[in-house]
Amino acid sequence: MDDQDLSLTPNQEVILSALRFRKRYGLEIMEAIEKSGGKQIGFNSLYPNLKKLEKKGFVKSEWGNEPPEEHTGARRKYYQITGAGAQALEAKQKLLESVAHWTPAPKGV
Amino acid sequence: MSKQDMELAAKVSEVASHFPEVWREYQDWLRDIVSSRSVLLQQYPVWRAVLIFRWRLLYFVVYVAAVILFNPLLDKLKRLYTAIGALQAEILSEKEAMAAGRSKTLATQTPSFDWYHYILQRMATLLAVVELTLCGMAALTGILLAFYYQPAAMGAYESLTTIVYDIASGALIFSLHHVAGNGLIVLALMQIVVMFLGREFLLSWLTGWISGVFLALTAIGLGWTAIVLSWEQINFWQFNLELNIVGSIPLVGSMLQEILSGGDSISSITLQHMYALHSYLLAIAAILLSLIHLTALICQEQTWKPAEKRFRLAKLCGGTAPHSDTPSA
Repeated sequence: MDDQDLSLTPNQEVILSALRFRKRYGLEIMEAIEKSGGKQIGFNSLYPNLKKLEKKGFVKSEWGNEPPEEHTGARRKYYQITGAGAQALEAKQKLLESVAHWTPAPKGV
Repeated sequence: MSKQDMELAAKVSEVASHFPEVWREYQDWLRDIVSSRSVLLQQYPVWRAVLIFRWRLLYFVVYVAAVILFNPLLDKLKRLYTAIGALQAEILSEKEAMAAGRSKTLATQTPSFDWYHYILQRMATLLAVVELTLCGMAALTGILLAFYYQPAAMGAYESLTTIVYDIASGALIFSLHHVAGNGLIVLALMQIVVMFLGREFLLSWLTGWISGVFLALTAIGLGWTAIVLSWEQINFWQFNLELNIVGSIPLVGSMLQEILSGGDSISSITLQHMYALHSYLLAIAAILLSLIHLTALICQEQTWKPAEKRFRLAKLCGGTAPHSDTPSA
């Protein structure tokens, strides 16, 4: 776990943040980001990013209880953050904190 | 319009469901595209909502198609890359093991594998020796031919006729030059095949492999520049045709054609250009490349030998290399 790549892109960070306290489906993630005043993530970016996060083990998915869509027969999937995902998010936030607190070493003694 | 869009989405789902794994993975994306349609219609005019909906659908189709097409290919490439890495490591470790004096044991364990690579390696070195010999032969006979050859439209054919018919052993020298040049092309191409079969294009053999490939290209270049030098009808028109082919290369073709021919058509200047390229640039490059090639292969071959039998530059220079087994005076 220690040597796992915890790097996140800005979009992945926002998506993980949206999943931090509850599981959501794709449209709901987009809505959460949009309604919270964040930069809107399009369909074309959301789903590939979700698959990448799933592959990395940062989120896991499960089928929803809703019936399949009548025209396409497609089912809804809910995404949930995992321990590794929470760790990655925390690492990113720590990094931002340490960047904010960094001060240059005093020059000349 | 709504019906059409839904039919389109249904068709997409029908096609995608033929690939169960991909469908299982991505169907929620399609569902959300369809679900978002009503929101789009509330937010935008109909034409714009339809446009956005279709764009999302198109992107989904392209993305899923790319996943279906390229994922197996990427998986295969990854597997191939891993297999090549494993093979390279295996060959290197076996060579090291053989060099450490365990060659006999290894040979009895995996005789076919070791012998296969060993024979190909030896064959490559042998071919490199022959290539260098041919280069030397072509250079020597070339110098002898250059004593009498005149690279001019009015003199080329006559001078070659004089060489063949009037000069002592002229026909023999001319034939040897011809045989050496063509032989070099054949052997250089054979060498590439032999090195490829022996997996001698991997990192540890890079010098040998690259010099071999460039030697083959140079040999072909030597043959090509020699076409027009005899100034005979067939060769003249063959060169004319090939120069036109060069001219048809996009962007640089016409410039290259002009540089090679030294003008608009084939003339004495062309002959001089080809003669200069053939005798100076390419001939010297071929000799240097064949030397580098042979040296690289000899160095590579050392890994098959036990440490005490390996070739050392210090031995060649007259100094005895320090060895732990030799008793001190």
